[in-house]
Amino acid sequence: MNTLISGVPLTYYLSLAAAMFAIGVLGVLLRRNAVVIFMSVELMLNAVNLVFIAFSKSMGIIGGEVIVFFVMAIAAAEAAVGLAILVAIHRHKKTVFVDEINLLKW
Amino acid sequence: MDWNLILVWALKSGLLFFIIITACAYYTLAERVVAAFIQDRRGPNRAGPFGLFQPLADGIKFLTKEEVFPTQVNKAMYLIAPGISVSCAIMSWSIIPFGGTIPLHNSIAELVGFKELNLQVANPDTGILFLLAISSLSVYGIILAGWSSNNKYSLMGAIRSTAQMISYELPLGLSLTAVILMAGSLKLSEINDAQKGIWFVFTLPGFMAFLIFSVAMFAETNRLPFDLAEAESELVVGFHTEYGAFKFALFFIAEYMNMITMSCVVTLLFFGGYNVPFGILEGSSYNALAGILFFLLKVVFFAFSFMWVRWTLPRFRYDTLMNIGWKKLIPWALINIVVSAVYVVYWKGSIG
Amino acid sequence: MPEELQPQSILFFILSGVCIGSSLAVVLHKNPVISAVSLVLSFFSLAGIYAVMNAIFIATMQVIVYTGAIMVLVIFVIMLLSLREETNLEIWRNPVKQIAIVFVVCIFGGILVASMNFNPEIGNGDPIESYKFLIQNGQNSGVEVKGNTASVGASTFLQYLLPFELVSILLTVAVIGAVVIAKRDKLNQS
Repeated sequence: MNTLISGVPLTYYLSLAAAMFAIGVLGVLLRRNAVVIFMSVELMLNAVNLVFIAFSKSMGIIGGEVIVFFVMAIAAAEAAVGLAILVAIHRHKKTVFVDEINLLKW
Repeated sequence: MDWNLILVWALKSGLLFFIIITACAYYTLAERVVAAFIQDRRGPNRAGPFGLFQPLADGIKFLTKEEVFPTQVNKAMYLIAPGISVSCAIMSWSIIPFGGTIPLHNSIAELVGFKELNLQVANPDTGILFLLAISSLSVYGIILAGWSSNNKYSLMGAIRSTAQMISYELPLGLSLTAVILMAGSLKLSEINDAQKGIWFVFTLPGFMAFLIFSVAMFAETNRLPFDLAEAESELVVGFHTEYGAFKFALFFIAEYMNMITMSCVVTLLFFGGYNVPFGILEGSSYNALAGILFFLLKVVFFAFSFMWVRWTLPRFRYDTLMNIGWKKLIPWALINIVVSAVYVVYWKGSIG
Repeated sequence: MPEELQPQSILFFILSGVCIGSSLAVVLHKNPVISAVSLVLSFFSLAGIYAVMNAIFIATMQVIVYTGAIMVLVIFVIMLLSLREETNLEIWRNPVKQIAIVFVVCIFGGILVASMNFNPEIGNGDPIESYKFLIQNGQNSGVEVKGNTASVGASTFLQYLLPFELVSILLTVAVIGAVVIAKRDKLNQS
């Protein structure tokens, strides 16, 4: 297992991925605009992609890159369906702010 | 990876940048001369002998015009959008090979440390996919320009143009798949070397791929017959309505540079690239230089055909345009992939 | 300069700075279009980081799929729905949001400490880009390919063929689902 990928230690890549993941979680928790929440989820997915590729290059196994390829395809599918749902909600409630979509609140 | 290589790359990039900007400037002059010839009149001939200083005059005009900012535009996006268009147009030149390798004279070889000069700035493992990626990115220039202009005609034009460009990326990519199957690699230099026997356009799947690619190529560069989004009688001028002076010049340069890039890609993929026909000069040290000459001739022919088609054909209406992209080109491109796979297995033997 | 620092390492630091900066802009800016454009910049710098790592196929796929397709879709949705800016982004006064920030920063710190203490055994260092697949019914023939794209492609189509087919079915289902959900009702008023 290499600890240097292109001259940069593996832990630097993992820290970058951790930072992106943390920022993504902050986005999901702090924002009210549903599209921005969706974009924060994409940030988290990308952080995970970075970890997969870092370990794939470090251990010399090509399976990590294949998993990333599939994660990208699934993220594209999720984007299409998620944004379709947002468009449908906006058509009825005229808003995408998640604290205004509260018809089921007791 | 040492600093020698980086210096050579920087020098190649800088030289290529200046050559491309000059070629693009003279391409605009050529467009006006060809348009005049087709319309039975004379083109610009005042600015120098045969109008050869016209691009210089245009450049000075664009640089010295007054910069106007409309009120209530989002300044950051308004200024970034032409930058994105031009950057993407220039970035796609980094992988285009103009020839093979030029063997260096011994004294220069001792100085720089390697013996052959590769006429390509970068040769990544995914050559042709890089071009697709850059054309995906150039969509952002258009949509940000249209949105940030605070003008409903710009926004409409930008959305139509973006929808057209992302719709035609699919036939573009799918028709390239047939070529990649026949060449066995994504690298542009290897696609070129695979055409040493026969050009890909003379094979059945290559010919179908060429037809689909050339239609998609016109739609990707927003040229007639697919330029509804920026036609002058339609939506004012579309997404670059609110841009004047130098920012408009950047969009203009980006469009013409995209056209030259697509001409280069067509010659590399279908018409033999920089191979010297019939393999005449194989092994001689003038092979690369003759290759550059033949490559430039073919690129000039395709650049001329862009202009020829523009001033000959009428424009498509928007719904017929989307109809062609989705319902006609994509099924044909998919059938072409199957035909190409059958061709590779049964006529050429196995890949690679 | 330490002896293992190669010129592309400098690129890693520049690109990761751009990545973190634009990720923060995604989360903290109140205009959703600026958030989307910052996310595009973040993905593009991440593609650059993948290229520095020699994962050139994944870098190209990142640009084509994420920045070229998904983010164009997001920007279209934002523009067509004319989303307004978020006015109550008062992070610094809402106590629940402050607790959330502290919690997330603690988790990030924990992951950072764990990754810094991760000291695996160092193996032999050459990143060989090739892939070998042996056909398992007794014959000795297999497939060996060289190069990053060829390795990912051969691995996808030989060893991971079942997930590939399932992902293609999933994409078809997603396309049909998105069209059905976002279609206007012809019977009711739209």
